[in-house]
Amino acid sequence: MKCFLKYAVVLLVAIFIALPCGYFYAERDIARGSQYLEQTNALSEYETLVEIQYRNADDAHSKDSLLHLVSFMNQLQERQKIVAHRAFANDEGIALMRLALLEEKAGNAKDSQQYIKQTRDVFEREYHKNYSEDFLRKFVAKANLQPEI
Amino acid sequence: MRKWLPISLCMVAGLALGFATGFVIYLNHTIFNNPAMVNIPVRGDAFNRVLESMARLSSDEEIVTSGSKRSSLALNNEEEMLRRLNNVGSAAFSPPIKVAEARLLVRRSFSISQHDPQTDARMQLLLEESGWAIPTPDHMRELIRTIDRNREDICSCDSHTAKESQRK
Repeated sequence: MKCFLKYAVVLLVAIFIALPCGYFYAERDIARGSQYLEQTNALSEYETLVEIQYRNADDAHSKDSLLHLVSFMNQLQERQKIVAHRAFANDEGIALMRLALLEEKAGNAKDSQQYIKQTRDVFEREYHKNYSEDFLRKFVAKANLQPEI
Repeated sequence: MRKWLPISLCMVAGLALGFATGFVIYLNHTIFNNPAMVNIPVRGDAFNRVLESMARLSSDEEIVTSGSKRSSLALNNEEEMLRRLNNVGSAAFSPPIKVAEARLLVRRSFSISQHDPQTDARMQLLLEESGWAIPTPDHMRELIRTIDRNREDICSCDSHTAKESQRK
């Protein structure tokens, strides 16, 4: 009986030592994947809705939804580590260039240039390259030609 | 030696059992916080609520477009998520909820294969409020069909590319 108790105590102590290790190992292993999933899912859903709105709504509503998307992306960048940062930069660039084109269409050249500058900054931060305005215009034109998803 | 062997075995078994239990507890916690699950309260401030609701909306859309048996459950989840997003209010980062609502109405009409005039009127109102150039339910339905077709094409293209690279 005494011997059995001794084994049981050893077993329990070992369980209590290893349990937090297992928990934190799983947290380290799974949490990143879980955050990646949440971030990419939320962003792709947001972008899909804004894309639908951009392609079908008038300029004022399109601009509004794009501004909200950019604000959402900025908040996300402030609060979390961006997991798919290259895709994130491309999407942010597309949203900003679309805003630039809308401002240009509305005759607000100064605001349009401001958005183009912001796009250039986003790409420079990600690709360490200073892209020309012409390249950025072609980039967003290509994105606008993509089929709706 | 004989005395230490059973103790060592107990120690190893305890460590293995404890590690596995800890791992499973965390896994369980993650699974029950999965965006695809039902009735999980969305926590945190306005931004976190938008982030979580959008992630769940995305998962529900995946389920609906895949034609799974859980489609009706996913549609109910979508409705719940939109209600929660509406409660967030007009924050600077709120998504185009009316478009999502119109899409949900289309998905519901697809699932019952008939057009309800009341639903169509609601959809028209949502699209008009969203500033659409063509705010008709027919246009929205066609748009959703096109989006689904494009997604299917991308998926089949992806699986074809994966098979090709496996062959190489």
